[in-house]
Amino acid sequence: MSAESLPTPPTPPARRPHRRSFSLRTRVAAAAALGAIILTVLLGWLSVIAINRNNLTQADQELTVASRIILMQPVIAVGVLSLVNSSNKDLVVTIRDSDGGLDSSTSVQLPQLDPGSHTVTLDDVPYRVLTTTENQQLGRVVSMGIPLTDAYHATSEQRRWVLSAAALAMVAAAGLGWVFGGRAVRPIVDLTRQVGEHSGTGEAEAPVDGSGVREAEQLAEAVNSLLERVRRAQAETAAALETARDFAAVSAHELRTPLTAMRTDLEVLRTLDLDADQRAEILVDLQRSEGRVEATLAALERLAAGELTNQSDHVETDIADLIDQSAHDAMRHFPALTVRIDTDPELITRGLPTGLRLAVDNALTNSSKHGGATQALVSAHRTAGGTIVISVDDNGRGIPAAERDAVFERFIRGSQATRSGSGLGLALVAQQAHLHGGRAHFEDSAMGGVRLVLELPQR
Amino acid sequence: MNPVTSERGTTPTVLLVDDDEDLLASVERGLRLSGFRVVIARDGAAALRCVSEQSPDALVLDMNMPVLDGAGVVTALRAMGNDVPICVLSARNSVDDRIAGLESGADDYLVKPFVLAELVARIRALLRRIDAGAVPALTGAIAVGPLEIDEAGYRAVLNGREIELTKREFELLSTLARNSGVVLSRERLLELVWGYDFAADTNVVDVFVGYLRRKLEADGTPRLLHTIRGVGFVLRAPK
Repeated sequence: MSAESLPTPPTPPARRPHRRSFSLRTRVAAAAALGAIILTVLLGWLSVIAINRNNLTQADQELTVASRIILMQPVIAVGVLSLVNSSNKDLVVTIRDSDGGLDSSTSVQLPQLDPGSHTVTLDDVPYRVLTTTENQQLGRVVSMGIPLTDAYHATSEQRRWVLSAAALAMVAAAGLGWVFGGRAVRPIVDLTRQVGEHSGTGEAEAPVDGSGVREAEQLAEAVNSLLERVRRAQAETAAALETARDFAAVSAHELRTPLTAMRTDLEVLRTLDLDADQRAEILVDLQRSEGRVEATLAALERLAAGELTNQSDHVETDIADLIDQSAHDAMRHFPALTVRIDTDPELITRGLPTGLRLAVDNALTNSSKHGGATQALVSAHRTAGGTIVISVDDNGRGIPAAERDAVFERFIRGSQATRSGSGLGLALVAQQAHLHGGRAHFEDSAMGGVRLVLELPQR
Repeated sequence: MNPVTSERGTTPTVLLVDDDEDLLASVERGLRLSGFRVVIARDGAAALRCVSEQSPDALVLDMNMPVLDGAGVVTALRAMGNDVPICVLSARNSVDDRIAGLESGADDYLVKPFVLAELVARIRALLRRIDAGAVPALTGAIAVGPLEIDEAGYRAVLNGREIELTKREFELLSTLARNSGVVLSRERLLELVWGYDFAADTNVVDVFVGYLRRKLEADGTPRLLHTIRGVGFVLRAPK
């Protein structure tokens, strides 16, 4: 108890989950990195497309500017360009006639193309070509091209930059995710620690607090409600145990008393010189004490059995029938007692037949044994509300009004009761009433003694 | 068995108090046949009435009774200055020393079901002790460390403050004080304090030692009354 109840750090138990789990912080960092990767790849891809497009647009613009000059005198321009161009990195112009025949061209010759902008590759060098017939004599087609090498170089350079930025962003995102993730998951970590510190012994403890993160708050709420339920269940168990312990103590006391008497009697019999009368007297006492122990044990057994009944033990029971049997047996056991019966012809209810029989038996036994009654009347009727009322009247010496509630408690004997009782007979009657959802109480009887009333609500 | 006599030369009267008729009948008969005159009472109030009317020489008192329980009877009697020896009957066979009657000033206890011979022997010893005069040599004050015992005045003073002790507690403490530094066995203490010169099956010494310790150590005074395991108890001034 002591070792377990100490607050232990929230270490995982020996049995590990089948898959290795990562810390929440790691997952946050990884998620941040993944997000950064997706974002940078997307942005990089878009920017590469944009750069490509931008480069082409730039080339097209250059071509448009050049075309204004060239198209004035394309043939002369070709001549000039052929003279000026030392490398193939500059403007190339090819002039064709309408059926595709070559008119004139710079050293690099552009293929025959439809009017408009195109990208063509000549000797592994990409060219942006503008083909037009604008301002030309009929049938002349002018194609102007500029190499895209520089633009391509620029594009791949830019692409490298984008990729490095993506890698950097990923690392940074993971790192920052780690740093800030630690802060973000702190409420969860705190919550885990608090739950770990709960001893779970059922004593009232401060509820756990997960404020700071909504999920942690929800988790804290769930944990608190679970703890509350556990605490309530434990309290119920503790109360039941306490009752059982009390009952055991009282039972022990009730058994120790007659046992003390018996032990004393036996010792007297064994050690002292007694005459025959004394011996006989002691033997009678011994027998009575023994009977008391037996009665107490039997009643305890029945009480325990009553505690253990459940709903499935309740069956269709004919009250009139069991009263008839009980009255018959009572007259056999107590010849001095006459029992009359007044019941409705049909009184079927769901109940515990042996338990109800025991209750009526105990009532009649009490009338005869403790009340000294010679007449008893057992009646049972169904009221308008459906409740079945069983009452046992007698002409005995009765029970003082002040004791009428207390005698239903365990081991409480009435002041008028004879010595041989276990103190449990009426406790058993009360238990049966309770098991049937009803109650038992005493009233004055028209017959002069006392009336035990057992109310069984309709079920 | 031989009838016992008190110093008054008559059969000693024992008041038996219990609410259970069977037990009353059997124990009354047992005590009567063992040579006592027995009067009975069925509850605490009747017991007090009986003490004032019949002044019995000893009480056998059940703890668990209606109206006024055993502890209440003991408390009332001691408050009235009545030192009649009281043996209480407890139904609980628990190891803890919380036997209410003893704390209130009863002298001994028995757990039900007890042996009649044991009860008879203890009553006789308690009666003998009363007859002999409880503490013979009244030697004035004894001091053990912070504790001073005034045997003549029946007072115990700890750290200058008087402590409330029942008669039996005082006798146990003064016996230990007179023998301070000497380990006394349980048997020896039973003999010196209770007058039990027979092997009594009881842990009443341990119970009273527990009470004394609680009172002596209530204000944080270091332990004076030590247990010597397997031997007994000793009262020793702290070094």
